Amino acid sequence: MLRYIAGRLAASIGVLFALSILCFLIVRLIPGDPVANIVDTDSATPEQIAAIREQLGLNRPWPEQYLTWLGGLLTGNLGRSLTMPVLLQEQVASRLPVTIELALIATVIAVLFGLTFGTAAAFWRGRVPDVSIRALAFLLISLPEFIAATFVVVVNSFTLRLPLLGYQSWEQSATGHLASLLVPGMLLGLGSGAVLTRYVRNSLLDALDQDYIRTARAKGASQLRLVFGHALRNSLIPVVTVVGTTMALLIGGTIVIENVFTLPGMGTALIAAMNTSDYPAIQSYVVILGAFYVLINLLVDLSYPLIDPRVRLVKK
Amino acid sequence: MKKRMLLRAGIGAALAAMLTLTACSGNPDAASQESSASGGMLRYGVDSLPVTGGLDPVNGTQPLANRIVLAQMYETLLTVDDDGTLQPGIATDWDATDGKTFVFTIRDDVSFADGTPLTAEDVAYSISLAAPGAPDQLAGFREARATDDGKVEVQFDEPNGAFLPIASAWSGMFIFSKDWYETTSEDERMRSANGSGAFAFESWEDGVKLILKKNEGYRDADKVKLDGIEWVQASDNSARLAMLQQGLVEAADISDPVIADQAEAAGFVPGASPALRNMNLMISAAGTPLENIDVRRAVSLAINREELIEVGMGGQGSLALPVPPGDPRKLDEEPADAPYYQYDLAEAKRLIAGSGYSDVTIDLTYAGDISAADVPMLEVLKEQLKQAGITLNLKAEAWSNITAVFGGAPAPSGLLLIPMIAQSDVSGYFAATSGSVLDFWGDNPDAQSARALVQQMIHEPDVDKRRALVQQATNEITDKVLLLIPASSVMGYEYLSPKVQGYTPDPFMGRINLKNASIEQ
Amino acid sequence: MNITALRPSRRASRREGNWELRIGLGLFVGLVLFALSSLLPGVDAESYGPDALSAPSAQHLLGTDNLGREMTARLSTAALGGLQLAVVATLLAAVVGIGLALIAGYFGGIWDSLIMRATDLVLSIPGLLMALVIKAILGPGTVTLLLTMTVLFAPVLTRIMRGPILAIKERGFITAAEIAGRSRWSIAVGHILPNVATPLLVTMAGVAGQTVLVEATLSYLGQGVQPPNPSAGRMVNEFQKYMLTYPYLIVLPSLLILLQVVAWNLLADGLQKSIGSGTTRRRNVLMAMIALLAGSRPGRAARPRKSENESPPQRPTTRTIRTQEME
Repeated sequence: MLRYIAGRLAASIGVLFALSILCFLIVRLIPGDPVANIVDTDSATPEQIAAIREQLGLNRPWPEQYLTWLGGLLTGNLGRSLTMPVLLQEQVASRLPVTIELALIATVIAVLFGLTFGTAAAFWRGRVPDVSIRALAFLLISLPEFIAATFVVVVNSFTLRLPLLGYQSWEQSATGHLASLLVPGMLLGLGSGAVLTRYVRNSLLDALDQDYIRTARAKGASQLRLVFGHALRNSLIPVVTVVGTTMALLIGGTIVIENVFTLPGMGTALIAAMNTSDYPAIQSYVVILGAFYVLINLLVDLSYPLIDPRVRLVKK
Repeated sequence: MKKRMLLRAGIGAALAAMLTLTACSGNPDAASQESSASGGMLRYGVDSLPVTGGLDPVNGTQPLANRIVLAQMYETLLTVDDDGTLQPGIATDWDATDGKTFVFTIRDDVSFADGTPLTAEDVAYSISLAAPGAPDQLAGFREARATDDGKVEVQFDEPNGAFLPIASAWSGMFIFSKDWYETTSEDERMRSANGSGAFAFESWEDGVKLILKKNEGYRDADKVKLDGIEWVQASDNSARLAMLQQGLVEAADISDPVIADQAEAAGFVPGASPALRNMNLMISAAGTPLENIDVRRAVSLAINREELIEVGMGGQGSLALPVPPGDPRKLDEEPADAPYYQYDLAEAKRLIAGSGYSDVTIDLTYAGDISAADVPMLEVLKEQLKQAGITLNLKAEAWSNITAVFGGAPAPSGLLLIPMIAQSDVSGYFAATSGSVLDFWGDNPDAQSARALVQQMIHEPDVDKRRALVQQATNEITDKVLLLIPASSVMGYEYLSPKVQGYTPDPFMGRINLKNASIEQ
Repeated sequence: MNITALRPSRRASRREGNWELRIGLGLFVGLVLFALSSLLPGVDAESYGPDALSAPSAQHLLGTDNLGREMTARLSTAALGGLQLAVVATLLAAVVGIGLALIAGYFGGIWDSLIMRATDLVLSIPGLLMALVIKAILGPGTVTLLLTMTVLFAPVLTRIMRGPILAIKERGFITAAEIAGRSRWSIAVGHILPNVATPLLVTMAGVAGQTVLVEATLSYLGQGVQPPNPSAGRMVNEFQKYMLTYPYLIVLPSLLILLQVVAWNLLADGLQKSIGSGTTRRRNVLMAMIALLAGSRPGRAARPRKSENESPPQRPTTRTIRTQEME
């Protein structure tokens, strides 16, 4: 058991380490001089360029630069953005919570959507509700988030005119804050909700094939009782682990959704940094988003033995 | 200084929207009567909050997003009226007899937001720090110093014609407190401000909003109706229109003509006339067919500019020469009369045939990110040149890679799209032949005489003589096709809720008149 | 006990037949024909015309865009580009992916561990982030897109194909070939590969659908296909502003993206349903792939590495995101 946990931890740390090297290399692999973009044009003297290179530490050997940056990452000192008048750690501190909140809201929506529709589909297996739910889930899996989001934003601005845009911080207004994240969260959750729907449905159908259900059925238990009384409870365990996985899937989605709804999260910061070639920002943001993603997957891994005793047995 | 010309701002233009504007905003007197009632916070939707350099009044003045905010908080030495004539600012009077020495009399009733009074020392310090930012145009700058009688004296080694226009533009030389600048850290300067303007810095939430409050110590504070300005960031045009419609902001920048039409249809009022920018195609000719003057002339002749504007720009553009239409100094000749400018496909084909090039293929590099809205224009341009047997390859690059040329990196061969916005001094419009880093002509003999004319212009203090030089340089550039300008396009519109009263545009689209606005409750 | 008798719905679903494959094939053929129509003489996606922004009509079948270009031509060119990208990228990813899977599954040993850890690493980075990083290094363009897809999807193929390869490896005819002295590479390519063709095809169809999604999203963010090449993702972004006035401009490219993804996904599901039951595990490849792209390693916790070498086909584990065949 301990070996399992240690193994997963070590693997995650290894992945993070490799990711940090990859991100570090981005800045060095990009053609051109990252400094060229920020210095003032014709007033820039060679001394100024040298000073900025010095400030960014670009003159030192790569391993030393890497270790300095890694040290900064671990101590929460990410340095200065090339294009924004803020320190990167401040930007992360204000933006990461928005992204996490968005992912959490989306997860809640996905779970509600998945459980409701998955159970309904299994309950009415093969009938109209099942077929339509499966078709809907299939469409949602195939639909990029940005199309759904674009349609909602643009249609709304000409019809209902709900205040979908305009982020409000928690301090300003708690309800306004949640309202500004709700629709983006819902749109983000739909895709994952569709994945969960398919999963819950098949999980339930699996359970309904089990011997004890057959026995119950033979004894004349109703479909309602079979599904809700027996099968659902037993198929929920694996569903819990899937929730973690879909949450990880949402990290990529937040990048798109934040940009559509102009939310001040990590996704908008990352795309802005990409558009302005703000390399220190890119390398730090990618590592942080990646770490978040690795962390969720690690938690999912670690939850297996808690949820399913068989994992422990196998490991013995 | 170079980035300044590229970033997005512009000048009031002679477009149809101008008429609408006059009709809507009425004259300033009528507006100020209406606005007597109330103040309130004006929420303004913008594409971006300040970026590189932040609110630093020296190092942060290049990006437009910074300048629009800075201009609310800082003042300039002189100002310029709608005709481009110099007017008093912090200096009440100025003297520039020999073109080398400028003496300014400074107001004695100005104080900064922190309460300290403004002195000649502050002005001299501000100018000394800002002048190196324009090494081409302010070549020969020697010093700026406070004299014993409380005046400011600025000295050049040779006559300079660009200094007064630059010192009067809202976009350039802000006056700040020497003491404040020297005692604050780089970070503090980027994220706070201490100016003498109508508004003072309040707070800044990264990626969300930046709030200014009324500066109670401003010398005309009693005329300022607004309690403050809240700049709200939304990086998409449709999003900004939606915010306007949802009442989340009272004013918004719109940079897309289609969205601007929708804003107009929805009952919003155009604030300033649309800002124009020249779609300059800088030429890096070495090693390409463009070295040949006949090929360049053929390219210029093969562009059907009227059709380009109609089809590629949805009618929202105008013919342009180096000085864009709408520059308040009215230094332009009629574009239609310029040599090698009117569409003539037969002549273009003839020139190509005589040039000795069997296959004319030219790369056009543009910024795929910031010039996304210009792509339709470029696509039409490509099709037009195809008619004359010229193959144009469109190459998208990141804007940040293109800006490397401002640091002296070699330009990509062929054509390079670098949109140019309003310049504080006319000599700025001629960067392509000024000998600066944007002059890619090297030792090509075709460019020599244009370059000499531009240098002369920079050092000519006399307004009328400059006018003649601008004319000559324009003729030389269009005749030798040293710079290709397919058209000038609309850079931005601003739309206001009808509740906003008393706001009038300024010719350089600096939003500097927001201090006159008020909101009807 | 006859379960089927207890559940009448299964009979109903049997009558349904393999509708996934039928609809998927139909859509696919339709898309291919539409895409190929862009190659017909006279179809011009670049020349602007006088009738800008005219709604679909008899004269302009799908309307014209803001430059008066035929949307029919623009969309079919975009569809052709999308199909080409999907096919080429999937083939690239498949060659790399199956190559690695053969080495990992058949050759085994240290290569197996190395390759599996490497796929772990790549799959641990969110796909969109990886795509953006590659674009930052290489700049925009077709080569970048192809490389991105290969990096993103080759590990997915490796992971999914390793299992079936392990299963085949234990079979008698492989041992026979080994005893006959054939080289390992010739056995890998000549004997193993043909026997895993079915799951490979299914996975490839799924990967193709994902490439369409990734390309559309990247292009929408301005990081993918560059003008003047038409791309449906970029059209959605570019034409957002015409949403109210000329809705067909945004609806049509959105539909094109959706139809492409749906067609590939249906093909994947349908192929699996029609040929999958005997030779593959009853695991839905599409769902498995989505799980992999979310960084999950299906079933790894329940199946320690030792048991992976047991003779498959294995019983599907409940922790794997999967479905039974869609009935």
